[in-house]
Amino acid sequence: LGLYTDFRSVGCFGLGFILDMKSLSQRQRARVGLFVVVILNLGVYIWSIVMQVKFNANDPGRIDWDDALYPSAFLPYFFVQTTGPLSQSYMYWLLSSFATDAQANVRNGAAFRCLEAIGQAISYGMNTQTEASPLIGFCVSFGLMALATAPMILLTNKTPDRIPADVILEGQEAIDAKIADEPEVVTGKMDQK
Amino acid sequence: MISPLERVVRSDGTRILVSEKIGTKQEFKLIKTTMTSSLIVLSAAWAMWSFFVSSLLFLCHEHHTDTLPVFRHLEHLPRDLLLRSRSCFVLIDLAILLHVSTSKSFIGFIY
Repeated sequence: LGLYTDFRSVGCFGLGFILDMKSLSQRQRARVGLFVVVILNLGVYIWSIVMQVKFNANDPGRIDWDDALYPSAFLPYFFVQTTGPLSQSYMYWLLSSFATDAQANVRNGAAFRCLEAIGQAISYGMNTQTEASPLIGFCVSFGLMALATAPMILLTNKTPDRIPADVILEGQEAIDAKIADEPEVVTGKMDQK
Repeated sequence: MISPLERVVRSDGTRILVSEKIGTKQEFKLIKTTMTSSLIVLSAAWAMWSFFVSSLLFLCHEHHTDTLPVFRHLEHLPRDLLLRSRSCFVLIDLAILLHVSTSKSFIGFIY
């Protein structure tokens, strides 16, 4: 149970490992991260849809712990716990790649969260239709992922090689260091006078 | 315990750029610009999708509607027990988070 509930944390740390690879530029990490997230989600969707189609064709009835069918029926649920949060974590990381300062990062994150809430509301609405085929939710979700992937590829291609805020700050610090050095020279000349 | 962002130093020695405060009117203008920016427009479908999945799972847990397809067949998926254990592990997560947050590398992770 512990493994089940905490697997999402493990997954997010795993993605963090990829996104923190210093040997790759920010853009390269964004591309690798997107590939990993999409492939993992795709795998879980295909697995779940295949299982559900099988169950629709031949109702297996109740499946017990020790049934051979249990792992293949339960594991998609286990993994979807990880792939869902992964996609969110990845996106917040990607948004921060475009930040020009801390405030812009917050604005981007808040705007994104606002759109997430719309998705959540639609999902809740769909879930109230409990009599609908259980495949609908998964197929809509699968379709949304396919729809979202194309603009995300565009976005990862636009990702800067370095976070703009870091570049700006480095420039500011270099100027500050220069200014801090200059007054000493001026003061020295003044003293000589 | 919570330090202002401008005083934060990441594990690699870099700092976080914090701009000067701006007025409410200017802030609203920036929010409008943000909402129509290519970054948000291009990520809109991803935002909708990423929370769509979570909501499916959430309802499955909270209302026991078994809306997630394959799981209505599972004999022993004791959701009450899962929920209770989840609460325990949320506390453990928080404890780990608290511990990790005291290390410098965590700052970079947040940013």
